[in-house]
Amino acid sequence: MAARESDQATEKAPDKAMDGLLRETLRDAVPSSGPCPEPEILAAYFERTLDKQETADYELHLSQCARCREQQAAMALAHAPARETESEKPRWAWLWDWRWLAPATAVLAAAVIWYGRSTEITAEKHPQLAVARSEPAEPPVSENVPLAAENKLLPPPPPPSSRAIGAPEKTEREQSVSRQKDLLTPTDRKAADEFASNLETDALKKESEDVRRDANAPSSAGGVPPSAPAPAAPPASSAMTAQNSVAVDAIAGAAASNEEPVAAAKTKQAAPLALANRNANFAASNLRSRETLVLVGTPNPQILWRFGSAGLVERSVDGGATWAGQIPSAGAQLTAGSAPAEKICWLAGRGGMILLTTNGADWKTITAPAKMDFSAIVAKDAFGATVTTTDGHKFTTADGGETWRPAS
Amino acid sequence: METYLESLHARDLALARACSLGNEAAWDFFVAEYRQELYRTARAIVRHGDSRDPAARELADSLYADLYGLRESARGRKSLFDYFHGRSKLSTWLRAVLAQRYVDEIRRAQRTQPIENQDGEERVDVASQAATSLRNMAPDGTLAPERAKHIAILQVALVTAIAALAPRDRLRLAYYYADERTLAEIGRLMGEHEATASRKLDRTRRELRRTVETALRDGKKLSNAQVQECFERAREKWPFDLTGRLRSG
Repeated sequence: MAARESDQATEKAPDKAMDGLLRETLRDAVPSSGPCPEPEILAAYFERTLDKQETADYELHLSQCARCREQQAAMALAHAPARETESEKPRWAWLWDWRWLAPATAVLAAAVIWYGRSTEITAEKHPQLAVARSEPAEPPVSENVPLAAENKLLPPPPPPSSRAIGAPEKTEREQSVSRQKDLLTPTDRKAADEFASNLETDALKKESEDVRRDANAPSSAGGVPPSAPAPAAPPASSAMTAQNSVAVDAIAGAAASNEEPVAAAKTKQAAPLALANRNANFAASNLRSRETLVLVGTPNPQILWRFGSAGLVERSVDGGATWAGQIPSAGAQLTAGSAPAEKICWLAGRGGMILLTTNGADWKTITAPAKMDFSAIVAKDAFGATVTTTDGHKFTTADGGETWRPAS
Repeated sequence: METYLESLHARDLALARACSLGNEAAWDFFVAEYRQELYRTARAIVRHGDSRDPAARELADSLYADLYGLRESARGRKSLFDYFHGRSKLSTWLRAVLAQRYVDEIRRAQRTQPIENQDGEERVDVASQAATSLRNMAPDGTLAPERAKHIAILQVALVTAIAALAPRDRLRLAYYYADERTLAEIGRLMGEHEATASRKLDRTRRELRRTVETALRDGKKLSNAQVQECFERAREKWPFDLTGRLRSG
């Protein structure tokens, strides 16, 4: 044991000697006699862009020139804030490690695609359910109140297979149209126009044209008395409960069914047609809005954001099962979003619109670097984000949108 | 040549040239783009985080005048931008210019007044004091000509050995022994990990020792015992141990 310690001491002794010798020798070294390089070389060396020979030459000079070494140290100090910012990342910064983030993103993307696909299938098979599912949290509007009352006057809904709007059998449709044409009022014709403009499928357009053509043709069965109480075409509803949505579908199905007694009161039949049109409008607007919905993921897969082009922003805390709506800026045409944390979300849109929430609920409008349309936004945290305009320019902020600077 | 041209920062170079020529739009863009960064850099260099720090502001502001070229010579206005040739980013070049100015100012001040610590006493490095006091003195306070002779022999061999080192190894030694920087600082300055800096320093030091020993044996015809005695004398002269710093960083 003692011998081993002695060996270690012997081995270490020259180290102490070398330390002292080196310190003494290098401190007293003759400084470089050549001129110090320009700041540009200093900068290029700092960026590691000098070639091999230049680097060796400069390092040789540095080793002999205390002034240039001090400059390098000052340069490093000036570069330190960015490094400190990196080192002072919050503890959840590991969440952004690409080693797990890449596969997680792929899984999330697959889940979103699967969810979207399954929703489309549901919409194809059961459009009323799809409409109901897409807006579960929306409160009913007052216009929906009389619907339930009118629904009571109607015959029971036909089987689901015949309830699809605008998709009855040919003979059924012809019979239905021949009954409906006597009931149409100018208001109903307007609703039919809206119907055609909103539903962009060929089949539905074709049917709508049929309705319009038939309505304009001279009626052999007699027109609607001027005093007949025709319901006014309601405006397109932006929200509807699942129950009412299903009820309206049932009404629409009843109106299109040839099993409905022809002797039913005309005033009662006018309501289902208008309601069917309204439902079609609503379904179309929903389908349209669902097409433009943008999903924004967060590090927590259970927490998602989504928004449409009309300014409605929704947040889900259960992986997309339910959504809570917010309107941070009415009418904002949002196009992109980025959520670096559960409660931090940046949104960008047209006309220089940039929104930010740091608590998941309250939004503030950020002053944009330019009043331009943004096509993308990538956020690092509540302070750092980069927006891309539709013409490809990028601007970045590191202080929560207080200042912006062009990004390369 | 093609590689060189491709490596130039053309966008920054164009901005610098436009500013140098006095283009107002270019100046507006430059000020909007780099003003904050200049002040941030100046604050970092003078090691004060306060944006109102007068030294930092003065350092940054002094640059503006020269960048614009307020000083006119017989050949007209000369802008500092004329010295930028696009070999680095403009922002890095500005940092380098600021760093150079600051260091020159500090060195100028050091030549005219001593740097005092908070207690008002002149700052004296303990290690350098030890080295100075022991340069010609033995621990008992008496002159030790034999010891000085051994040290001189070692230093001559060591200077020769250092001159044969690769520039990067020499620079690492200078940062560590002459500037007394930590391994973490050296790693940052040289773009390598702290552990790498430590390992390479250790390796260089062992290599130097072998070279010096060989030079003493082959050149000075010293025996192994005499070589060992030289190092023993050197260890007595510098009794402090810096080896630990190499390990701990």
